[in-house]
Amino acid sequence: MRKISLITLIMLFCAGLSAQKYTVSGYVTDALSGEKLISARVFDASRNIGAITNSYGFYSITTTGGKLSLQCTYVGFQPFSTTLDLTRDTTIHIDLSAEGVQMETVEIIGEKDIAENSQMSTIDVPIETIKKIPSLMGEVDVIKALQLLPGVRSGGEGTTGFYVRGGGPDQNLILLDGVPVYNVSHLFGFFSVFPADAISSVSLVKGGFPARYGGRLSSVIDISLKDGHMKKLHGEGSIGLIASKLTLEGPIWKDKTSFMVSARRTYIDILAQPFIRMATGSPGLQGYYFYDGIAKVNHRFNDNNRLYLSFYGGNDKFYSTSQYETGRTGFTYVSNNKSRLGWGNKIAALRWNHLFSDKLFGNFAATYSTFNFGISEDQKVKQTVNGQTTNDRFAYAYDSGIRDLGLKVDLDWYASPKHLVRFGGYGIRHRFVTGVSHLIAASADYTIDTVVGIPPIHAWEAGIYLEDDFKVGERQKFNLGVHGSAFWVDGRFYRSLQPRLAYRFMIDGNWAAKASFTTMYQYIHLLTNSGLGLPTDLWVPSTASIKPQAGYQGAVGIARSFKDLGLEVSVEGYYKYMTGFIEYQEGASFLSESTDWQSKVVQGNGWAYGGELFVQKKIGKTSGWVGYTLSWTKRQFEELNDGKPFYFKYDRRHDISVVVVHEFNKKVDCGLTWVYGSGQATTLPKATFQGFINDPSQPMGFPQSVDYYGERNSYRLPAYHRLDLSVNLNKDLKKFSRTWSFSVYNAYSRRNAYFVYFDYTAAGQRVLKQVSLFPIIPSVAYRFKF
Amino acid sequence: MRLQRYLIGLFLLLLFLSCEKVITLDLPAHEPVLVVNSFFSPDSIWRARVTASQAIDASNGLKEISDASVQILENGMPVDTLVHDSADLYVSKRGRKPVAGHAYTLRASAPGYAEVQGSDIAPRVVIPYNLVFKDSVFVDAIGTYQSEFSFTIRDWPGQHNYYILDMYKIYTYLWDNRLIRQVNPIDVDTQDPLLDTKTSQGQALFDDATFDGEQRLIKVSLPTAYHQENDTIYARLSVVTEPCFRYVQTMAKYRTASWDIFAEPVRLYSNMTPGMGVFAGRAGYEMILP
Repeated sequence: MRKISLITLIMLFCAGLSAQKYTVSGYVTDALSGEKLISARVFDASRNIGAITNSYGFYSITTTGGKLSLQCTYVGFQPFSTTLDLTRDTTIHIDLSAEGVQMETVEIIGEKDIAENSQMSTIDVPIETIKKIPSLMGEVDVIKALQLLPGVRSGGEGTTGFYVRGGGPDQNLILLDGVPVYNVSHLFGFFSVFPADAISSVSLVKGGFPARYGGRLSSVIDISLKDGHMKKLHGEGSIGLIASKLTLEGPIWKDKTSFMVSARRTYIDILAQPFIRMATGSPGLQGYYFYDGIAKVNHRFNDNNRLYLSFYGGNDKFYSTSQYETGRTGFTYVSNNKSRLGWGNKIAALRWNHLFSDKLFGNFAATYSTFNFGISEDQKVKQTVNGQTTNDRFAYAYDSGIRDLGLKVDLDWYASPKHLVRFGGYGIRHRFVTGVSHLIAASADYTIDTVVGIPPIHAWEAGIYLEDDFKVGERQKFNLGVHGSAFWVDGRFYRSLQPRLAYRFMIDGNWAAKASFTTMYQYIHLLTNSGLGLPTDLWVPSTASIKPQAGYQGAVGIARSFKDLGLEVSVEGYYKYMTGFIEYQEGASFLSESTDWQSKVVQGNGWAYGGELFVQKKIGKTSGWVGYTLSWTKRQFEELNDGKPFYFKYDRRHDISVVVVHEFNKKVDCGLTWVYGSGQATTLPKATFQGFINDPSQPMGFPQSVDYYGERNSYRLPAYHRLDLSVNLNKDLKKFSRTWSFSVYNAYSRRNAYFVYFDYTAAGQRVLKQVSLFPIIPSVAYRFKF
Repeated sequence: MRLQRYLIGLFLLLLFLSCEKVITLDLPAHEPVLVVNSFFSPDSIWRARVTASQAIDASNGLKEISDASVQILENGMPVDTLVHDSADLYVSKRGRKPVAGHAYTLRASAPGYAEVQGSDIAPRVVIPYNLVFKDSVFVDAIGTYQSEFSFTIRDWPGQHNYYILDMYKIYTYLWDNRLIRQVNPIDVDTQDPLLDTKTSQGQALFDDATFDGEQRLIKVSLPTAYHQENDTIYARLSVVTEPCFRYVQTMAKYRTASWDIFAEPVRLYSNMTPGMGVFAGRAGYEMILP
């Protein structure tokens, strides 16, 4: 019996050898611009096998020789199909054309199918949909759009962070062309740093993380910049109420080298300057503005080698200059003051794609990312008393920030149509500046020039990963992997091994059941005050006393594609447990006097669970999504709330978002978003009582009225809801097309709570007051494209 | 400070955009409870203050309770009864004092309020020695002459001890033909990281986690000018119990948080159940600087 089995196996193996296999591989690009198409589906219809293009538009299918019916589809593009007799390894680059596409008739399987994909908790949002969503002040915002997805909570107006499945704002890995971005917002989170015109794709991973991602606990937001038009010069831009932007792209060397540049600047400061001068009567200047600049160049050496160079720089600036003069007989006093407050990111990436073979794709990257916050003041005083002149100077500067230098290797091995193996590694050198002050005081009598603060902390982070996306039979698909990482800081060494598992079972041709279990590890923390999004938020490393963050997440769900309707539906449930959160101690904030951040924080755990419903329509005249989340999120710190668990500030029981974009015709489209969130948790005093403070002159001390706070976050603010509307009027002119975009933010002027506090009325009655930020805000923007 | 000013300015700019309204939030009704505060020391007679808590939106002032029954118990047996005096304090009628090392319970009740109680021990005093005062030892960064005061303590072994060091100067002056005696706290200034935790009145809080049962040199500095003003300067080292330490510590954080718009609110420590307040022991030793 044993012999028979062995012979059978040998025969099967020989049969396998005799059926010669070949590989068909290549890139999928937009025929018009040469832009790579990510997640396009390439498949052999005759054998029902296929592949999804990777982040660089590459695909590879290995199959037995013979007739091959190769097809490629992508949303918004004409399907491609060809037949060939596969007798050797073959390279086929596919250029898809968007011309003549009737959106409502395109087959939904154009992109990776929600039911077919083994990965769960992942959402791709078409950038064209994001551009049509109503926006505050007409500024299209990628991050704001992501906050409309189920499982993603915004902190509300005036907060920069977002919270994915109960995680913290630092637990989101936000990648721009593969480089981590630390601060993604301008001005308290009202605007994000990513100009939508420069972006080609956005995807969000909330759970079931593939092994290639690491370093954060809660989400991955992968944003790819446009590569630049390979054929001819194109541009688009807009003129809005508070900002204008321009994006240009085109070939440097046709079909070989292209560029893309994008710039945006607000002009609130310039518009407001006359009013500020009128109000203050001062000849000085005061103002605030922010700007972003993006540049990207890519060069195709040949089919096997391609180089990308990306750069992003953005800053928020708050400035003030003033002069004060006074005098009388025999005395003059002149004071000149200059103040600056600014924060911003700079990132750069040099990436090299290399095709080792038609089955092995490699990407090598060198990356740089920095976020800095700085404040400075310089005061010069000139005094003349009875002909004697003295000059005094006082200067102060404070800096904090983080800087990363990294190297990364990612390899995709298309082992067979049933196995896609990804592996790679990375190393990052972090430099943390957790607050350094420079003080200069100089007069005729003395000079002080001193630096106070903690010296920069240097840390190394490294990791390797291996993952295999494979099919077992026709119904089952796995993504198995492991991510190993390590962190060195101040002589301390942390390491972790993080298994990842995602599983999909096709119930029938449309329905799929999915499950995933992932563990994650994070070595850096964001020390923040209640998510207000102040630039003083500090990125800090794990240290000997501050442990890394760790967590695991399990999720189950079902997904279905309604191909006829162009709908994708998913329902997921999840449970997530996290350790190593840092929080300011009770009563502490960045304003506290202690210079060592470690002495101001406590560490604790958190957990979250809930369910999400997501219905998305990507194609047709009407597109958008409906999302609903039911969730619970708790935290527990030994030193807070008497060690008892408490609801996280951004715990929201119900969260609903409705996003609809409708195209009436080519000239008119409109958008609507409506969001609803249960009131967020807050801590309010319950009672007042008498306490005592030290007073050596009194035996009991000095009496003081004290507010008694009950359980942390035990009150709920009123629910948050808001309706935004927009109408876009498009017109093709001779040399360019233009759009007048009218939008209304908070259309029914809901006064949503920013925060609440107790205050006294004139009659001495203590009342609760609510501060709201934005009432109804109409805006208009002019967009153009050529 | 400048950083704070600018950030608060930026925050206010944001608030400038905002609008404000009075809202009604469904706050549960507050049932007033007794609030008893009593700091006891082996060198002082028993005393306590009894008031009642009130709802957060109440417009009247805090209510003094003058008809409470306040008892001190040791091993469950009453050892003293405190009576209400003209200064709204409850004091030992027989002038009794706590005994160092003994554990006590305070029990209080009043008509219309639930009975409350709290327990703690009277700590043993630690007497500092090797008191050294050095005049004008160094000049600080802004050109002020600083003197140095040091002393040594021997910690009680085998138990977790908590300490509070506070300094103050007392001076007298004539005002309206009356002699006024004024007590002014002095910030405890030191390079010693052990004394890093401070209250808003300049007291330093520390424990013996790093020197349990051992000797420890304590060194503080103060402006020489303070000493040269012919005022008497005192330093008081108190051994305090954990409830006392936590009360003072949370009160310091509470006061800091009350002006810091970004800080999470702080709950003041209490060991009076089911009421509020603290029954806490301390034993201080006063040093007069030479």
